[in-house]
Amino acid sequence: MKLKSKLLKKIPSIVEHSGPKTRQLLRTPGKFGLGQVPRSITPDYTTTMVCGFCSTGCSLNIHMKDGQPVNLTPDSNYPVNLGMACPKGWEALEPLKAKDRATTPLLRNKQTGELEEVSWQTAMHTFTDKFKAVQEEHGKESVAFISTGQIVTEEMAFLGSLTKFGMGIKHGDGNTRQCMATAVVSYKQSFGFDAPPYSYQDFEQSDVIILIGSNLCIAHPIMWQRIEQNKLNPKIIVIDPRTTETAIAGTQHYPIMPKSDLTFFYGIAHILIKNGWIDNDFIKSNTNEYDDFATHVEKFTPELVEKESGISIEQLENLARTIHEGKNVSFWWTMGVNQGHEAVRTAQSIINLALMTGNIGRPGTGANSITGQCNAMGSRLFSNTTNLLGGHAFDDPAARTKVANVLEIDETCIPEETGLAYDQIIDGIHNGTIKGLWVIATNGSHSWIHQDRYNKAMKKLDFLVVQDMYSSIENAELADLVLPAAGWAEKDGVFINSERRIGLVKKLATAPGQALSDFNIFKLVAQYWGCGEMFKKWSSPEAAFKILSELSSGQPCDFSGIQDYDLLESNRGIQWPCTKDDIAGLTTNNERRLFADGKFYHQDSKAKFIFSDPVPVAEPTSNSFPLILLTGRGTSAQWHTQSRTGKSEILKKLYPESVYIEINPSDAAKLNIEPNQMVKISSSRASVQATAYLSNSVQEGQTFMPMHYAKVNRLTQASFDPYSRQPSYKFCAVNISTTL
Amino acid sequence: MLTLEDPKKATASEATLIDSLLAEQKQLTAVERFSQQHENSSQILQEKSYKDLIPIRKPSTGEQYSFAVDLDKCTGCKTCVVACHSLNGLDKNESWRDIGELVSLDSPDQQTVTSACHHCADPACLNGCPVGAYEKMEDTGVVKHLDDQCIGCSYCELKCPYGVPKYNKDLGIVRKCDMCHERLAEGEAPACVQSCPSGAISIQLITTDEIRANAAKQESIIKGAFRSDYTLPSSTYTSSRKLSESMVPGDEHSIKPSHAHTPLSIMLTLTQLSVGVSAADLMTRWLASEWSLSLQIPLCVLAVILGLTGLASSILHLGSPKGAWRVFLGLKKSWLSREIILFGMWMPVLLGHTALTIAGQNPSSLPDWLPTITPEILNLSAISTVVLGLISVFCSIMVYVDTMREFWSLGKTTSKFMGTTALGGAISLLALSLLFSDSSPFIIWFTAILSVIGKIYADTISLKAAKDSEWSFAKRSALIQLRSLRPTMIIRWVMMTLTIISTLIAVFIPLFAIIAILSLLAGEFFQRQIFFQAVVTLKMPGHLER
Repeated sequence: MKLKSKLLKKIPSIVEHSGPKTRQLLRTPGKFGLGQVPRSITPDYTTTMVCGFCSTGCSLNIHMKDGQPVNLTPDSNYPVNLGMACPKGWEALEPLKAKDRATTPLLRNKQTGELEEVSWQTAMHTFTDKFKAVQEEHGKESVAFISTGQIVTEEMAFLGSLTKFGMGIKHGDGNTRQCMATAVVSYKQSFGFDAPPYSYQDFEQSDVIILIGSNLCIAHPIMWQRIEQNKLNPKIIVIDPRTTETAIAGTQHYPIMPKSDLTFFYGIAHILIKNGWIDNDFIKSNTNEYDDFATHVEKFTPELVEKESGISIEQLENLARTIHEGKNVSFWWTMGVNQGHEAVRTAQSIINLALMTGNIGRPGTGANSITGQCNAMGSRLFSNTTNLLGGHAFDDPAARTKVANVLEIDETCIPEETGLAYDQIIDGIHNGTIKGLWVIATNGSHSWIHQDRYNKAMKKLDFLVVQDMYSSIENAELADLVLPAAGWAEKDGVFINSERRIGLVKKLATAPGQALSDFNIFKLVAQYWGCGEMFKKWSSPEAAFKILSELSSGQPCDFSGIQDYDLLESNRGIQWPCTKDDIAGLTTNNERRLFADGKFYHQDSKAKFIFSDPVPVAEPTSNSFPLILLTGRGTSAQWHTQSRTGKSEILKKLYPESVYIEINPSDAAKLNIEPNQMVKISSSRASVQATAYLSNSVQEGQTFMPMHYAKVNRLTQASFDPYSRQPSYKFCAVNISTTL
Repeated sequence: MLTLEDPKKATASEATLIDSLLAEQKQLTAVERFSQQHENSSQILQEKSYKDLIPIRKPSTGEQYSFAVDLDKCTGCKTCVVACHSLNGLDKNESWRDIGELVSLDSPDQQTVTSACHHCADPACLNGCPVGAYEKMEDTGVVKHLDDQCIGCSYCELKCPYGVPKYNKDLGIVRKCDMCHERLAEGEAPACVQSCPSGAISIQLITTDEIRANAAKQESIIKGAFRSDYTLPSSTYTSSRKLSESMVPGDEHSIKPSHAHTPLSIMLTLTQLSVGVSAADLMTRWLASEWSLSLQIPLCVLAVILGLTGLASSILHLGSPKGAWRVFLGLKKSWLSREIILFGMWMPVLLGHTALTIAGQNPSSLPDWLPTITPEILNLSAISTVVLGLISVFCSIMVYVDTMREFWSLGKTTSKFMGTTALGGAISLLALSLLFSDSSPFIIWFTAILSVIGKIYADTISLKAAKDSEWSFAKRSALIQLRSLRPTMIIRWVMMTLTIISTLIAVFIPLFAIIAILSLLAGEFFQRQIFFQAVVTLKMPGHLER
């Protein structure tokens, strides 16, 4: 009998419904409120944390098994993302496992020119010796740093304090200059403080949603989800030169000419005023300079605006009427506005529209800047670059005293003025005033405008330190010293999202090799530099958070009510402001907006109309370069320079492998370009090759290239908004040819 | 505080700080500290977001589940692709959902298209599978792939006009979407449904009659997809706006070569040549039995070598050959199953015929008790070999014709495959006659020249479409050959020329006949590579690639 059953077992059945390959894909209930999950990675426990890509600030539920993260699902109960995430969020753990993670410090061998592994000790000695030598020879100001919107707030503040108070560095800036600087300056000037007024709930409560230079569907899909939740059947107006996914999904699209935006919005203001479609009461009690503004926009007649923007008078009036007829109109802008040559005034022209129609402070309203990076808001308040810690001013003696007291440091350590902006630091390298540079968690060799000039600057430096998760990034290839950093999910801290929500990042994955959190690297630098004592209060990220909370006290961004991480955890993230008195109310309302009382942050509590005449772009098209090149996000699966998203095989399936350029079919016909043909794109700075993608999403005379491919910024032209110093990625002149 | 005058002299406390920070970096404290609020929750927290997107009841008789996509809600975030991958524990680059787009060259209109398996009412994958590795589930209508039944022949990849089944190299099998039917059974939504931020994908109940009616009503489920009457796909795509007529898939202009299927190229070339050689053997036996005597054995042996190598190569094509004994399961519908079975019958007959031929020519070496091998027996075995061989090659042709691809139409495939057979027969006979016989009758020359001309015609005719003004499958196939496969094309033509030249030289130097046969093999092999690579893969709309 036994033999028979044994034999039977050996005989394979005609149809195999199970077996080792079938078992690989079995699913099982995940517990912890999860549904079915893959059986091989059933979690032992789960914990939530905020995503580390964009500023939406989604919470992700991390599935832990045997002490390490094995999978994740979006957090079903977080007020931001309501159980959803974009492709990047779903794949957030994948980049941590990449083979090219930096695992030890690397020092360039002068003889061989190669980066070689060294100990932390050697790395730290070299770091301090080299930078100190540079400072001794060329002055303290000759060493600068460039930071990021990607690390936690505690680390940003530590870096800013260490460099400026401890190391005597004066010039430091962040890659947030590339994304948020315009919004910062605009809000500061208009409202008196850098304060995006909204909560994401406003997307759901608006009956007219105006998206300007924002491809929300792709850049912030989870915010678009909030629009989908809107039950008011809202009018969704998209103002963008390109017919983006968002323009298709919206109800009205205004494809204005690139960089005609300032004129366009003055023209809308003109029509609103002409028709009396303004909120006189609000203007009178809550704003200043309105009359001058009204005079200013008189000359922006519909005829002029039609000519400049390409939008017909009828459509212009239709837009103005839509704004007028909306009960709660919200204005949202992103990089299409921020990355312009007169970006601040453009952003303010949008703010002006909200102010003059009284669309601010109520649910579903606001002049709302949607931030880019996960911690751009943290950087705005605590990077200690443009602003003194906590949104203070360097030139304010009282603020310096306050900061010195909280930090328990000597007040004279605090510089009395702001340092150079990113572009000025690059200029400084070129003109020889800056000789040493420390780059943290950013990849300017890919992302900075007019890339060849940036890379030339890197090569001019006496000493370049790059601190990053990956030793493979373009900027690290030029570095003298690479410091291996732990990444998101390998360290504790907080991010502040677009709607001012402070959310937790947790250390739940082991960093590879000898990689250290940026916080710990700063600790080491402080010790080796000889100023460790000064930062003894910064013992842990949470201790640092307490310092930040204290620093915010009395500011518009006051979150002194939050003293520890537990409160953030239990409340599912908390928006600033949050004083002790605000805590109790969070249980009933954790989605709050600003300016409900019509009080702004200027001395007289009034907002200000700010305006000036439009100026031409720095590089208009010409006979040699007859086409406009626009750059921006390609797909929701790509993040900036791709140092992380490029590590996920599954994300790679979602976008073309190599660079492409969108060309209008009629331009292509003129140039004899066939679909998918390889073409050469030239600007007066460089020539690059790309696949031609014929598409009507760009208008005639315009082209578009996604910024995620390193070549693209070889073409872009380095012009800057004069107030925010933000680079203008949205306009440069190029030529396309089929001769490669 | 430390003073660091001498960088080379590491003090104890320096080391301590670095060590303690490195140690601290390894400590993961988050989870101990932050307790989970839902540790014992039996309720599924995500349910609220998808409860309206799945049916409240199970399918009844005549009904099945289907994917319904609301195109208005799909805005191109592509999350569904990644969530499918993560929630189903798939391999690194594996997802059962794909994303593509429709674009128009006349208007700014564009539309993202998400697609997974369409769980067809008449699934081509299931019909084509030689080993019965697909099932249409009775209760749900889900087209389920049996991973442990699959032999990794990839034929379903060719059969599915939507590009759904995908070969997994590491596992040696194909895998595909199962609509998360185990989730549906528990009232949970499939991964793609529960992850879509816009709720654009839902599961609906649909009757087979409705599926048929839809297929009759509209040509395809969405622009750019293959016509629905072939497999009766159950998925539906709806949109409030009319997608413009001029829309084409984002990858419409791709001229990326398809998979080369090298073992299959070898198998097809060699088996077809082998059958051609057998046919030559038969012909000469009939038409010039005296003259053919010296050629019979060489022809048979050549046919056996070619045929055996070809069949051996076909095994290399299979990712999981262990279950290949089940190939009879698909006989009813699968041309691949028929092809394998028939070639399986053909080879023993060919071997037997070869043995008889050898034995027949050496009667003294045979034991006495064996009956005499008469010419009738030899003729019969020769005919059987050729007939079985030709039927097998016909099955080979049908394997590709049945995939509905323009480049693999009956005419085109037959001219290529049978052309190889004819050319193989003619050239081999010519070459062997130059090697082993005193004369090569004109008729052989005539046949050889005729098959060369036929081959050249068949090859070049497919390139003509490159000049068409209309963009079409034929034009794409022609462009793939002319641009993407240029090197292969050149080698193919060099080999063809070499075959002709060396045959001519062999008239004077017989040894060149060997070069003629070898270059013939190579030339036909590369032609077969082009056959596989220049086909336009049928699939759902994709995105720009290159």
